Amino acid sequence: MVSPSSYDEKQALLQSERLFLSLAEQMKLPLLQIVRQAELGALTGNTAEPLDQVRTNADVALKLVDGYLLSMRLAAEERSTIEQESVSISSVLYDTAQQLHPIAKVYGVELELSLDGKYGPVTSHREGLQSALVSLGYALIEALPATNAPQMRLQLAAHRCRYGIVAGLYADVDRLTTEALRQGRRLHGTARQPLPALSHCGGAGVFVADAILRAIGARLKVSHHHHRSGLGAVLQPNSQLQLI
Amino acid sequence: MLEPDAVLAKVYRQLFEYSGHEVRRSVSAQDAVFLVDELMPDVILVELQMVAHSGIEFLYELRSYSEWQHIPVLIHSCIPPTEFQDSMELLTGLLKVRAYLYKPHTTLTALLREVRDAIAAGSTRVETTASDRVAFLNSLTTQPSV
Repeated sequence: MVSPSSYDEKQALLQSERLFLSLAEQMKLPLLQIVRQAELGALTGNTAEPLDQVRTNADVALKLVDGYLLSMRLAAEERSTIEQESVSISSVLYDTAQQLHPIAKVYGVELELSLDGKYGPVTSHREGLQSALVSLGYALIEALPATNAPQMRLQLAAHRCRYGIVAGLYADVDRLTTEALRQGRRLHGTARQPLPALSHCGGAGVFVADAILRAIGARLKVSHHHHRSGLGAVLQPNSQLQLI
Repeated sequence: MLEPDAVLAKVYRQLFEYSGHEVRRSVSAQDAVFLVDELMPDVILVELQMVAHSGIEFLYELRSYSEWQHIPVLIHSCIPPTEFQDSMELLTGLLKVRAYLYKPHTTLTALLREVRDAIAAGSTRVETTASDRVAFLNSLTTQPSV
């Protein structure tokens, strides 16, 4: 009989292998973009514009790898040793928008930061939360122009829900459902296109974000905000600071 | 050009326009059918991995119309052709795919050459049977693995 800890270890190993495969598949896209942009620049003699985009695509690839490594590092730590702190959602969303801006511009996606409403601080791991939202953002920015969405607009927003506060990214796509995410979680690492209703590629950013949020004790869920669908991290308010 | 990725689409568009071709792009199989109807293109480039409907579904739709049988189709995909090893005959037969180009291995120069050859050659007509069609559909029921 397999002991519970051995079973957990096997599951963790399986998850990490699947995440790695998903990431490897995803990395083909920015690398392909970079090599073809460089080739185009050489063929046409116009190297200025491709060079800018090469930088942005390389940056996306690096941040995605960083997110993956962070998820592995956090998953290896004991949950109790991961330092939770008081985090301002507004500041995390603002920084996320800053990081996503260059790639959104390349994909022709307009970013909209919606910080209306006062939520107070949440208890979370700031670096993890930030990295998860950036990874999610990459996945959605890549996916949005391929969905025929009526508006190429991605909204970064927070809102209250019955489980806590959700900080997420929302767009005008109607195919993003809880079932699609559940199926994607089952298929990532084994199927080439685990979120076929949302993304034409591996959507690894979604699964990297999922792994990071799980490691820091938060949850990724499909969420809706102002008639838009999206993915968000469910966070717990910092009740101690709210009392003050 | 049925190409879901906006960045790659821009690169390919610039390449073809630089070489004197006119390009129209679609991100969905349904829109691609409308575009074909509107333009009757000289050649169609198809990525198989699309949101919602796949490139294969588009090809079935395309080849179901008699007046579109002759339009040359090049698959230009991130899925390695080895995953279609068993169905390659049916791809080139039933769906009249002229060539399968694996994106990571196809340079822009090679892509341009294939497109020019396809336009020059016009159509490739291969007769297929109903059993071929059923066998191909069956081969698509399992999702390609990573």
